[in-house]
Amino acid sequence: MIPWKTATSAFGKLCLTSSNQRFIHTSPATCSVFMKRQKKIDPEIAKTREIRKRKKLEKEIREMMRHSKKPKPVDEMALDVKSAKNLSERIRPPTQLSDEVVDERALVLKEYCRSRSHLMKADEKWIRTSIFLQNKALAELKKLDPKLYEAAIQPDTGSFPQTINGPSLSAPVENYDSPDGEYTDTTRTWS
Amino acid sequence: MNIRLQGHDFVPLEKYQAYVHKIAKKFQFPVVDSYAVAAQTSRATTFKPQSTIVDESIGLSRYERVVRVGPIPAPRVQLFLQMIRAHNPIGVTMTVKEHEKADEDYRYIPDLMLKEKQTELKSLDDPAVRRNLGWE
Repeated sequence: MIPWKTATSAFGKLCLTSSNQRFIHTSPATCSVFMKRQKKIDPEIAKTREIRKRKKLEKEIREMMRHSKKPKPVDEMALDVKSAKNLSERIRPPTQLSDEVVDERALVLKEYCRSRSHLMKADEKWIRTSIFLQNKALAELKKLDPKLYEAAIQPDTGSFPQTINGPSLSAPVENYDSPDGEYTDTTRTWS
Repeated sequence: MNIRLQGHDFVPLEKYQAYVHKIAKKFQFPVVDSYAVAAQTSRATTFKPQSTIVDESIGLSRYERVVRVGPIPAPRVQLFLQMIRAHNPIGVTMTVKEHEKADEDYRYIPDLMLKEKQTELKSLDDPAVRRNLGWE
């Protein structure tokens, strides 16, 4: 009888009864030992401190923005230092061409220029006629139906972005056995 | 509007860029800018069959030129694109899209210190940080 009684009373002391709660202070588990103690700062001083910090940051940002924009170097346009240094090794006297070769080249050049200018003139004609016809069609549309004209004028946002591939050098090779390999992207990133 | 030209061979690429510029002038489009962007380099490696021993390796660069055209009347756009598409040279890929800030930023080296300072300024507005300041 007696040990049982003491056990219950001991247990009773361990429980948080209303009388016991006065002597125990519980705090939530989030309170860790390593947090900085919040020093009481005068609110006005804290306010001025914050305003000063903000102004300083904004000033620094403005200074940086002024000098910031550095364009990425375009390698094919920059001077190739290695080649520039060994230029003296690679100089040779200009080749002497025979008169026949020079004449043939001049004739070929004339043919080429003629074909290019012919093509350019055809392009310009196409541009002029298509603009003229388009204007004419739009004027007619305006007369017939103003609503449709308004719709026709609208910019075409749906079709962009558009990717158009140029023609390939040859048709696809039949039964091409491609070798094992991989592509790795070695683009230089500045970050 | 941005016309972005990419290709592995920059000789026809540059000629094509000049051509696009010329045609834009013929259509009387205001050409804002016509510039080059840093190339994207990649490494193509082939392996010996049935193994991972590197057989050959070659560095390729994809050069990029951009022609930026200002605001243009909508019906002319398709005519312009038809003209350009007809003259697209071998190996050149053209991308036509609206100009965005990201395209402009891609030309420049990102400034890390500036970004740091800007995030710091933004963090001052963060409620968690403001609580620790002591005056709210």
